[in-house]
Amino acid sequence: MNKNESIEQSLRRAVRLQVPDVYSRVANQPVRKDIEPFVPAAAKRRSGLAWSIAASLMSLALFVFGAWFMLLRVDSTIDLDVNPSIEIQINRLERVISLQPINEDAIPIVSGIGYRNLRLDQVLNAVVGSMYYHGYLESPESAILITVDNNDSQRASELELSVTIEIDKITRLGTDKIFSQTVGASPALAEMAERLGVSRGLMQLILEAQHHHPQISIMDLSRMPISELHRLAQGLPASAPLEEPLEEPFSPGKDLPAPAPLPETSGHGPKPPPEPLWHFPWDDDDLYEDDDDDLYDDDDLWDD
Amino acid sequence: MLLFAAIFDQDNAPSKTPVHLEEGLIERIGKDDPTAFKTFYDTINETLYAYLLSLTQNHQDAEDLLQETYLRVRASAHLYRPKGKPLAWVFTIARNLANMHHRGASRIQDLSDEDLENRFAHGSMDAHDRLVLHSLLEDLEEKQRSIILLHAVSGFKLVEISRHLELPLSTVLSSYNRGLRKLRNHLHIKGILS
Repeated sequence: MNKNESIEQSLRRAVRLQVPDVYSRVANQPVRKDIEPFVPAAAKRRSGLAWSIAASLMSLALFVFGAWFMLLRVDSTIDLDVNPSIEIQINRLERVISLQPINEDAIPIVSGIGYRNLRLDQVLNAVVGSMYYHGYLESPESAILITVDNNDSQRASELELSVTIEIDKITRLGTDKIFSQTVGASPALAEMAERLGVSRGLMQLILEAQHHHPQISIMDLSRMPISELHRLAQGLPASAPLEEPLEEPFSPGKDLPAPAPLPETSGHGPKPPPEPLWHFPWDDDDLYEDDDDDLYDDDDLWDD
Repeated sequence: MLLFAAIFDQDNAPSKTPVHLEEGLIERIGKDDPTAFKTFYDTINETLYAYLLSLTQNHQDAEDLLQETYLRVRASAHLYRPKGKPLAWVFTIARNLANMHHRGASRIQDLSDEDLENRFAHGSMDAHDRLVLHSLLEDLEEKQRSIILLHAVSGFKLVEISRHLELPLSTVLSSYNRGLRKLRNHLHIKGILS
């Protein structure tokens, strides 16, 4: 007999000597029959583990979604137009996600500006500083158009106000040269803006102006200074008569899709007369002896 | 070679007829057949106690859980679905109850010297056998204890233990060999085995 057998025999003898006889205690004792199969604790533990893993994964998914929702999802878009046009996208925490030039003139303004995850006010400061550096906003006629896009109109209005205050604080232009508006999501407006190479905010202002002054082409309107465009968008006459068309009149059917119905605007954006919220320094009716019709109804003006 | 020798070496197995539990017994217990339960009890009692002793390391707890296991078998036998592994089903119930017992009481960690003495039932037991069993319960891991005791007491081959405990055969083999080697060493150190 080897050592292993000896050990096993000892174990067998030791165990057999103390095996209890519990038959009488368990054979006749009433038991309640189980309704479900007896689930082993190990299986329960595994089930618990599975639930823990599922809960962890769900928490992780929620965390990722929350992080995406708070940090990466575009909450609002802010267009700054001094003609060039610049688009800033921010997240819910008002951190900048992207800073894009909308037209070629805007490229030097935004190039070199580090924006990622910076606060909106910091990026506004940098952008406006760059605008000054590149010669914009220096002339007395300079004006800036702020357009805010957010699905929540209240949030859009709040943001519009805060950006306006911030820009005014930076530029000291005065609120009479800072125009702001909100726009809603409009694919037609976005498409027209893209084809014209302007921001959606500026496109909206152009459409407003053309609505009041259909005799001026969209192309010509797109080249006007912001302040003048805003004036026309309010239904006011141009500050100076147009001596000649800037270019061949724009044909919506040919060059761009027909103007879409104007999207709803809100906040301090261009609104129809008679109560404009912004006033230009020269916004004085006395300056204009001719009425609108006299100014633009000159057939010779549009002769080729 | 050693692996096959360990599995099939009949000379190494204890001289005892291995327990064979018929599946039909459990179905009959589910129908409250007292004869079936008596046969079941007589067939499995020693094996089940050995298994519970290896889990609890304590005679008193093993006895308590032995009763609970029988009652649980009677309560749930009517729901048993034959899968060809009736012993595995019984062992699972026993292991489950032992786990619940451990979690509820943490008895093993709180054993006093007096409790250690109560690891064994009162009665005459050869001092050498007692020391061997004590060393097994004290020095080996749970898996090693279960496999060695089932092999020694119930006469199961290691491949059968693998099936009944639902463990990979390789695990059973290694646990058995390592456990026995460790036990031998401990017994040698303690002067119990020359």
